[in-house]
Amino acid sequence: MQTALYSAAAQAVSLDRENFSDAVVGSITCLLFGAAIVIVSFDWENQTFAWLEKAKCLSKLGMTEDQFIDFSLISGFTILTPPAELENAPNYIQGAREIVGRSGSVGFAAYESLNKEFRELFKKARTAVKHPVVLTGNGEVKLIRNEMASGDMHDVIGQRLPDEMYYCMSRGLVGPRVLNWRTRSEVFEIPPLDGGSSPAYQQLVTQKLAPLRTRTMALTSLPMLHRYYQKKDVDLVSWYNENNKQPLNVPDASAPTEAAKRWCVKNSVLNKVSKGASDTADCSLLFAVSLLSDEATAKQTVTEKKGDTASQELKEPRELLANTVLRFLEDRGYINNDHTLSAWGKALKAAFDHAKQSGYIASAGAKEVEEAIFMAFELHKLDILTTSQMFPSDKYLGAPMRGSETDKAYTLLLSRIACLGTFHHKEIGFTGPLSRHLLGYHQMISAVRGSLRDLVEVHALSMFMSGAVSREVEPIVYTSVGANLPFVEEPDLGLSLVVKSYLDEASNDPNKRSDIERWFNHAYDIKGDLKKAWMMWGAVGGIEILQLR
Amino acid sequence: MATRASAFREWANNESLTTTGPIDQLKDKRVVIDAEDFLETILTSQSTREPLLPALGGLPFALRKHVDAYLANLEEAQITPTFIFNGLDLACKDRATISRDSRQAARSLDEAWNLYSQSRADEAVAEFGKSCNGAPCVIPCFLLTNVCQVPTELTTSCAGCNLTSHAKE
Repeated sequence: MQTALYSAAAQAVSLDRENFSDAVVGSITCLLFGAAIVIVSFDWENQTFAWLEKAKCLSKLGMTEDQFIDFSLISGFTILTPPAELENAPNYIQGAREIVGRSGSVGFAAYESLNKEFRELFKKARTAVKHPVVLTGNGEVKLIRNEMASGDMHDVIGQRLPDEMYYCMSRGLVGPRVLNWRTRSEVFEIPPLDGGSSPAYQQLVTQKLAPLRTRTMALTSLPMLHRYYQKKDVDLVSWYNENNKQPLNVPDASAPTEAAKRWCVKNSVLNKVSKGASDTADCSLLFAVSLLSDEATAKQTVTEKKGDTASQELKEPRELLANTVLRFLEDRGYINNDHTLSAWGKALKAAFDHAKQSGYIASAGAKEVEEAIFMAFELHKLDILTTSQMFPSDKYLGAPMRGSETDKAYTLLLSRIACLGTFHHKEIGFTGPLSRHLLGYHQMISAVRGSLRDLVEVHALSMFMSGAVSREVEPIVYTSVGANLPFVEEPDLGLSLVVKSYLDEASNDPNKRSDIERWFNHAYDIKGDLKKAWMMWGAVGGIEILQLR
Repeated sequence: MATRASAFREWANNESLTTTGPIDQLKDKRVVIDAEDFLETILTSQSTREPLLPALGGLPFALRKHVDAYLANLEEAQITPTFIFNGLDLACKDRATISRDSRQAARSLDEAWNLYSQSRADEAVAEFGKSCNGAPCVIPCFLLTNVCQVPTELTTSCAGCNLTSHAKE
């Protein structure tokens, strides 16, 4: 697996050209980027596969190679959204063919009849096709046909990042999201799945999460990025008011780089976590908190001065994962400067211990539990793990509806917490009750989880790029560290819907109660899932971080 | 809703432009797979799509099953895959484009919720299903992780691919 620098199709075609593969599997986008043949489908039942040849397409369409590029772009089949002129065409293929045929020529100047905005994007897209940026097999970042490229390629491709950063992205250590923000100098918030019309969501993404985003981006600046980026700010723009550009003040922000450098914990210390405790890859948060819960061990993890650098370099996958998470936890305030657990860290430890004792970890698995509990803490710190009404009830249907006001408030809070747990559902599409009200809250969690994932990834990136990690580390290790960092998997809304349905019915008149198991046709184990939700509540609510408000 | 890439595929099929061959032609071969197209196909094709995905968030319930089955089939056919994911946005995907696409999706989802509130369940499901192709970034992230943990040498399948030395420079 590999992440392309830009387009996956361009990278696939480039690797194929270098003979790293025998064939490319994909869509018309691969033909656009120069593949002569692309495998478009496998039929496993009949043990066949189907491919498409560009030459055949050209002859069917009656087009030259250059016309085909224009056609692929204008039709909206590949990397561009089609022009407004095509939106009402009954058939994109016919419509795009006519536009290309009518023009009589190809390239930038050929489509004066199309709207100006589209033509601007068309130029950029056409240049990106002519000069794709790829990572070659021997690790070189390459602009194809560089010798023919113009001097303002950054306008077409985007600002350049250091090669090492591209490499970390290509190996999956860090996703493209934060790097995109840097190269575009903009964070653009799009509406969440519920539509995002609540002030609570808008306040979350534009105000409450803004400092976290700033810090995340500041962490990429030094010493990793070119001076251009160190001086360049990033604006936050939201879908509901695109005219408002909110500067995130990235150049002025302090990054926790000095604190981060003091984490170079080797396996010899990591092994002090008592045997039988879960290992880092399964539950890196739990592991880190267990490690530091012994004060003497915690203090041994401080690396004040670099002595013999080679002996301090991190190399083992387990060390890399643990140190990334330790840096992240200190950044989020769970660890003091002397590496002992802060009050928040101790509270987190208490919640983990509760989860262990109640059997929550044994039943749900350490990975799910540590993330659910950690997310609950973060939501609480953002002051959104509450019973307050966040969504317009006329538009956002599906709020708790039975029992007293207090009953409803508890049902709401428990359902909100249940958004953090997984739902055991058969491997088939869902049927059952929906709730836009709960989805709205789920999407707030999703925004917070995404921001935390960004931060933990950037801590990994910063660690790899600041000399703390041995250069001998195998490529696969980059990938495995990225894959094992927390906050990859987002639970769906299923468990929350089950909890809400159950509690609503429990608040119903006993003669009118329904059996909610009948509402969720493909659920595996409603009773088990409910039990899990109560244990989750026990671990989070049991330490009284929550108060009904 | 069919995506535009699949519309082209369908057209090519109807025009008899695709050629079919037995899978054993690919035995012992290596293929590079455009993972974005692979994912979009799972999310949108009739047999694998889960129309209520945008009403539930998270991952499609059968995603892991589909991915595992695909990998198992490749392995059985002795084809070695390398999945390639999209990286940074191309400049032609500008804010206006993202904004327009996301507004369109939001309008459709709003309509789906309206239909749901009027108890027009089937119509609501169909409307929700139109927004399955805009994969939220959690899905590629999951897929990347899931594919990575398959115990084949996916990442080193580029023989001679000396990427470590690059990081040293």
